[in-house]
Amino acid sequence: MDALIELKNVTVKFPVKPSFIDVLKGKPQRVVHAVNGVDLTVMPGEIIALVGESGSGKTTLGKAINALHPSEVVGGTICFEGEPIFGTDGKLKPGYREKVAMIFQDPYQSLNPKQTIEKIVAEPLMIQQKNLSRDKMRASVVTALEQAGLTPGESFLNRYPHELSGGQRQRVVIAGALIVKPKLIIADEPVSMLDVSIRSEILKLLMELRERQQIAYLFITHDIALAWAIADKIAVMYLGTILEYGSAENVIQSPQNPYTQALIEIMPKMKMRRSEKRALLTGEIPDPIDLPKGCVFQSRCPRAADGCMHEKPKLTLVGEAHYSVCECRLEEMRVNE
Amino acid sequence: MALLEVDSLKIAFELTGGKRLKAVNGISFSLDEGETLALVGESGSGKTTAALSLMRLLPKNAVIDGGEIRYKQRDVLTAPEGMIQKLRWKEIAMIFQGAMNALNPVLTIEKQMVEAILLHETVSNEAAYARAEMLMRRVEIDPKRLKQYPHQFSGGMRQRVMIAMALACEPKIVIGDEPTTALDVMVQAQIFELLESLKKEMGLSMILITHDLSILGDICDKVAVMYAGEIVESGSVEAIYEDARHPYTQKLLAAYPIIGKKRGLPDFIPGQPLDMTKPVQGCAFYSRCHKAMPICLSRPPLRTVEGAHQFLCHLEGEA
Ligand SMILES: Nc1ncnc2c1ncn2[C@@H]1O[C@H](COP(=O)(O)OP(=O)(O)O)[C@@H](O)[C@H]1O
Ligand SMILES: Nc1ncnc2c1ncn2[C@@H]1O[C@H](COP(=O)(O)OP(=O)(O)O)[C@@H](O)[C@H]1O
Ligand code: SF4
Ligand SMILES: [Mg+2]
Ligand SMILES: [Mg+2]
Repeated sequence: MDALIELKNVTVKFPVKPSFIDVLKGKPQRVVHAVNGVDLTVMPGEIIALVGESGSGKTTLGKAINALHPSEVVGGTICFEGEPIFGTDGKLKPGYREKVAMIFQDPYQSLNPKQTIEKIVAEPLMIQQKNLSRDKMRASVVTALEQAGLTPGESFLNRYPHELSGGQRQRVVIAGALIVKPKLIIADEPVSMLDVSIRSEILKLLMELRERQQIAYLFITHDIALAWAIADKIAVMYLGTILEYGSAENVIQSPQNPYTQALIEIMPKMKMRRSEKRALLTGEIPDPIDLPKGCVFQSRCPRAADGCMHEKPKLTLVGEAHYSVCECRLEEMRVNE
Repeated sequence: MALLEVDSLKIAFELTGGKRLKAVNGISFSLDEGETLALVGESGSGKTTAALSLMRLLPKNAVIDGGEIRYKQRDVLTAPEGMIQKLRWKEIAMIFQGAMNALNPVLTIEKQMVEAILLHETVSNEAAYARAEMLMRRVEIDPKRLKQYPHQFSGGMRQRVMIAMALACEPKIVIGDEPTTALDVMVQAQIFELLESLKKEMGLSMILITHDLSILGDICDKVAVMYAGEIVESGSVEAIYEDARHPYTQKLLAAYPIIGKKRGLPDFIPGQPLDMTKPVQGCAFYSRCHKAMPICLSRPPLRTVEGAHQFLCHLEGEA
């Protein structure tokens, strides 16, 4: 099977707005290295979870795939069904916007409170197919609403976001993504702001859409247990770099990278463990303005050795279709039952 | 003797048009010194309302419909305002839901902390500044950062500032209202570790409000599960993890995936929470319960499993 999306050495660098003093002193332009050379492949219908702490670059990478950054900040190549998404003229290829949709974290912020549900859901399609008749547009909106579980779709057209429950609002967001009939949805923390009962319903909907419409997902989350529950593959990201990548089983059952191990270790286990001493990472992800020489995780890694400070480790094969940048080759970690 | 006792507490909100919303419907629990209680449930179940009543900070349209709150055996609901001034922040303090995102963006952290200290206690300005530095150390932030603004702080750091402010007057009980809901799991684990060490160091008791049952084992001693303003099950964390009896508790436990347990979509609770302006007949969970029986249209009994483990349900209670 051919890859749906293939990223090669993708970088995203945001220039830092220099202060007046810096300009006077002639200091060089500084850069936020949000994404640093990511290689990633998504097959049709596949769910890849992109996992990491906040600030690791997940949203920035998702937006790069969705071509939402100004082209000058993005480097490397992104191919869709084998073809680069940008032409030689630097323009986004026509039709790409209909293949990839993005769902953002907060259903309260991503809906315009002054617009009707019809308008909100129709918007992505209106941008792309300007000449579509009103009737056809309405029919597409109704279909998308119903695919997102809002039935009958007609009954929602003239309502406003504040009239809907939290779960219904997140379904409206999903309908807005479905209306372009995408092959890939980038779901950026789609359930982390939702209440328990709504959360599982929305997850169920996303999984059903994959079954019915062969939609692939890049599922962004900081919750590695959720990633393990629903994803086919997991990519663990830190400071703009993929540190470990493989099938969900391999990454969770025999994590090779110390960062992945730390993420698994701190997940709640639904058992009493207040007396247990846990390996908790201290501090937060460092500022991505000046990247360290060597391994990006060195400043917080419990196993960091001299070598880690000098040479940047590369993603290497550590098991069947399982890659890790760390060369410590940790002994298999037993997952508690 | 328990430090704090809540007995058959009922709270309603007066709505426009003469309607009433029964937010808390006869809850009882107690908290001992050094103990941590979790109040768990979906949003709208009455957790925040119950917590606010402990400090007598309820909104103006709230009415106490019955019950008692006792702190060190003194009645809180009928106490004169002067006594409440001594209780609020100095005995019981709260980290409000979402407050970390409500810090004033144009004031330094120092200014906001000092203001909070001066509001609660009559101390000199210098003493308040010194207190702010001490509190920052206590939550493991370099006091140099007091001069910074909220946007220069990460989410985890801002929540630490909120914890510091709650500790400003050395309270005995700290209530955390969803203190980690907006944070990532690593920061959540760090915040729990901090709270755990503060509890030991200062001999604190805590009430932790959350909708995530999976975190209880990391920080709590006992649990009260709330649904539609009632406590439907309560007991030690072990009892709830190993032997949950109420169908709602069982559903909540299955709603979060746990590494090492079953893989696949987490379970979910169908339907919507109740409209609490309408009277409830029988079991409040009836319309969403996967084990509902005809008898559930009458009031369920409070059953005792063992010791302090109780649940409110018609089921006999075989797990
Ligand atoms: N538009 C931007 N300009 C400058 N820096 C940015 C911008 N967007 C994100 N960043 C920075 O890039 C890093 C990665 O951010 P983000 O992709 O949002 O991480 P995540 O989604 O994993 O939390 C962070 O340090 C963030 O501050
Ligand atoms: N000031 C208020 N006026 C009217 N209704 C309120 C007010 N505050 C809360 N409520 C209602 O009371 C119920 C319980 O709310 P709350 O205590 O905030 O629940 P939780 O903290 O469990 O989410 C909800 O139905 C909520 O809408
Ligand atoms: S009383 Fe009946 S409806 Fe209520 S929780 Fe128990 S079994 Fe379900
Ligand atoms: Mg993000
Ligand atoms: Mg609340």
